[in-house]
Amino acid sequence: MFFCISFNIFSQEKYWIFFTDKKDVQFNPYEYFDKKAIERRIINDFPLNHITDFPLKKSYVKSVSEIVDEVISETRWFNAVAVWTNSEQIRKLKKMDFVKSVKRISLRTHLTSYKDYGTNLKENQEELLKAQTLRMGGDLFDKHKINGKGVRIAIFDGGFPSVDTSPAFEHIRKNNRIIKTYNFPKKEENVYGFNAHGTMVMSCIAGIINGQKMGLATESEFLLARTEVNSEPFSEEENWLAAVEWADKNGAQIINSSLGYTNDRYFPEDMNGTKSLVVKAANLAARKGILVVNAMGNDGSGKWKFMGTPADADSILSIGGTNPWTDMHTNFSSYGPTADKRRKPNVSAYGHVIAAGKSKLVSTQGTSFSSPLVAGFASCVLQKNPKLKVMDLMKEVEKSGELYPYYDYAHGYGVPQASYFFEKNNNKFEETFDTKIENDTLFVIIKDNYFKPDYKGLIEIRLFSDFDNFDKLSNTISLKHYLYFHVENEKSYLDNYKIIRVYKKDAFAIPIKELGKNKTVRIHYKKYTKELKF
Amino acid sequence: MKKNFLIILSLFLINLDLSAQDIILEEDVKSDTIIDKWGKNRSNFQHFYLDLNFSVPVEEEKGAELRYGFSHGVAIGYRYKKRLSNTFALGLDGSYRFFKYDIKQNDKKTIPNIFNKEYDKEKYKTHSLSAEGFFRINIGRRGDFVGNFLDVGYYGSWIFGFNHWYKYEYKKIINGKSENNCETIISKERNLNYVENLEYGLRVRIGLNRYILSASYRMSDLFNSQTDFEIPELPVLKIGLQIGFY
Repeated sequence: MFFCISFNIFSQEKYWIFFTDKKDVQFNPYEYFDKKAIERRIINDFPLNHITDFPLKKSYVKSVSEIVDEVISETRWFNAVAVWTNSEQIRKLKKMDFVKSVKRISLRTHLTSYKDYGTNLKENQEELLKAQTLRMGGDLFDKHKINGKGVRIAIFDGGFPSVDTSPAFEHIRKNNRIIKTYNFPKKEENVYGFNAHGTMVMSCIAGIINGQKMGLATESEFLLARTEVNSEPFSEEENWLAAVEWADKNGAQIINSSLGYTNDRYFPEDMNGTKSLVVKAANLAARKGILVVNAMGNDGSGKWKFMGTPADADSILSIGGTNPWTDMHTNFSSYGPTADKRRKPNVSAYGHVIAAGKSKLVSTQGTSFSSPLVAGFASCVLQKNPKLKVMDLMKEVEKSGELYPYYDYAHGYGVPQASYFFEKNNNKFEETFDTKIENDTLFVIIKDNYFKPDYKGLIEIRLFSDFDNFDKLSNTISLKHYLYFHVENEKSYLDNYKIIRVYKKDAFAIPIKELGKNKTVRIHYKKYTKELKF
Repeated sequence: MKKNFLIILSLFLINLDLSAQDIILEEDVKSDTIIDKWGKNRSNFQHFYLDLNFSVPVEEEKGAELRYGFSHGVAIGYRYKKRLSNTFALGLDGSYRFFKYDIKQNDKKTIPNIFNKEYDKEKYKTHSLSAEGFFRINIGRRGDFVGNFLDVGYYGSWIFGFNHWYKYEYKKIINGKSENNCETIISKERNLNYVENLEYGLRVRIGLNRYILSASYRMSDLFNSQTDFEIPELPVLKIGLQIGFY
């Protein structure tokens, strides 16, 4: 029996087989790419006939298929095929001169999971529904008739049940704005079933219910890819790779991906933006002009704590989650920085939302839903500035973060704000506080005009801990009275950061010796950021 | 009234707090990014486990047949693993083990006993403390995750309790007549002079994360030769299921 079990463990497994070259392979980009994909490449100065877009050499694929049990999928970008095979076949494959390398595939992923709270929207849930777009300045986009029109967004997820029937997507169906769908695990076009996670994610990009926007990009076009087999934990990275190439071919300008790979295969120190094939694919997608928007993950309060890959990629927007009722980092949202100390998350959005589920509106939570809120925001930015290159688009979204240029590893640059794109003098803000150094202590003193003590929040948090009793979200949409403080070291990453609730004018004091030497301190309060060197 | 009370209480709390700073989020990045030394696939890992195991026949039984299925034991143990690489690890294991051999009552039985007869039930029960060194091969690349593995180990056990337990019904004979009512007699013999107190052998485990199939092969004898009875030897192979607590 043990022998049999052992045998099974060592038997058939999934592998990537990477090829050495694409010699003599013909490729016509005008036949392969959608018109939008060609436009996007021209804007982003990416060649139309790049070697990564050439198909695989047929003779190589044929030779491999004659040896292995099954060829599952292929990737043009990485010149490889995913196969079911065993160790004996791997030995044969390694001897073939066109095989560059082989790599075992064994991944577990999880979509950031969600919880259903109920069926009908209570008053505070209706408030949340309004606030989830209003918090990013959705009213300003509305005022300027910006709604993501003409921008093509690909969504990678576990399934899209009811997207073909739900009233939340009627406006999209009516205009035939679901351009293409593909179910990668089943190799068919039907994606309107399976896990409802994708439906909820899509509603946070573009849903409308009873005239209320659920996301900002209500006029965008969509490519829907089912890439995940189960909501958790097993999934396949080859589907993600196949989907990103499919999205590229079909002209996607933005990809929303709410998955993350964590401790089943990696350590936190592996989150350095280079380790996984998915992270390489995400970065290559950026090079080809696609903005990848990815959830940070929901491990903030767990042992893992940090983002999952591909949120560690340097050329994608990684999105953290905030708590609408406290207006700061929500406890489950994964933290940055990356293992090589790059800044993540880039920006944040609500991690608690109202979304369209399979058969009803649901109150749900997870950075899975922060990510599509920002994907919708980015779509609006791209509609306003269609000539933006992808890295410029990413930078603009970061700059629109309400904390910018301040940042930390819980919020990134904060929640992006539409006002950044419509208001002049965005970089000039009045000084909201003074600093002084006395007795080797740094003091932060709030200016009279900006001192509105936050007793209410203090009382409620201390005594009630009942967020339903807070002011209506849409009435208190601005930042609460928080002072942000971080210490950056000479290597340009943070040693520590904190948020202080302001309820007295002498808001904060810290002994200079606690800061250390060669440090940069940044303090942020109500849009004004001050930088001090020590 | 309640509202007023809460407001007064809150103002009191604020007053108490005026000299303090209300830090509502604080992260020390330096301490966060220290690489853990302990973890499922880190340099060191430890956990407790529970084991349920059964005797299985592998060769012709000598001395006594067992009631398989009823001959089983439990163990609770502690396991420590030292990572050598992503694939290889060394480990130590300590456990308390209880096992009972349930003897089938038939004429093949050569168990040393006082009455030399077939009982209703007869068992050998052992209590032991066991130590093991093992070598682990992990299958597949993974993160901080136990994953699939194969352990091969060598163990030694000190059997500190070795009891011979049997039960039978005794019919009283009064005035040369057998009574209908029986007396049940349960006997437990301790300090047996014909058993070995040390046991050693090999253990193999196949793990699928926290679920582990285990097998042990006893290389030592259970009984010694200090008895006039014909010496039996009980099955040497046990298989079982473990659950790791992590």
